[in-house]
Amino acid sequence: MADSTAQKLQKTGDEVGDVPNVLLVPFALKNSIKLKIKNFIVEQTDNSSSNSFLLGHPVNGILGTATALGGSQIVLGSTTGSVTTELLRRSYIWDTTDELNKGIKSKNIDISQGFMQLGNITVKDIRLHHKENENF
Amino acid sequence: MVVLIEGLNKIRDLLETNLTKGQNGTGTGTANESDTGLEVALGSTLKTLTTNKADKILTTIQTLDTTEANGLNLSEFENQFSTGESLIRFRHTALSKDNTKEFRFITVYELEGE
Repeated sequence: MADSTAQKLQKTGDEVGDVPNVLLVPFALKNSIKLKIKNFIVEQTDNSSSNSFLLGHPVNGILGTATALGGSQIVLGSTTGSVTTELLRRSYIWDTTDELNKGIKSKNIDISQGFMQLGNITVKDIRLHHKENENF
Repeated sequence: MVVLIEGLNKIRDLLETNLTKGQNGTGTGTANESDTGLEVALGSTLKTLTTNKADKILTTIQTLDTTEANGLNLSEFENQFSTGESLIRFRHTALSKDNTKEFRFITVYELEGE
């Protein structure tokens, strides 16, 4: 991005060693360093050391043979792999539209088209506000 | 004057060296800048973080395995320096932990010069 007038003036002073030929610089250009929290994510990995995943299990349900359960059980699911699910994601900085959408879309709310429908009410001109000191 | 990327990455490295601990808690109070740690810290969850680095980015990972924090509803999390000061505190949705689950709390930090 091109420098603002104030930035150019400040650079002149800083880099050339001259004082800008103006009576007043509107504001001093400040260079600072910020530490930002980009994302906070909680993942859950389910322990599947036994072959006991059943059809309808909230995490897995793959057709297979039961080896860790009692006999005569119809079991759908047999795996020694683990399943990881994302329980929680908070995005504080978005670099791409995809990242933004991941943070705002849900089954019930989609504001990707710039509006949100709540029954007969249409909410338009939605602005996303990023709070620097977000508490949650 | 500009803040150099090289310098930002050095700060990232210094942060990585010193930000070494993660801890969970069960407090439910809102997080405030004036907090000095977790509201209800669970000492058994104070663990050494694993980290990953990218350009100007530091990722910390706190892992609770299947033997840890079972029977608890975890609702807050912090990252600590090796000397005990807290850098961040998150208040999050209560997560029920039991011996079938392993939790990973991932925090991504980004350094920015402006």
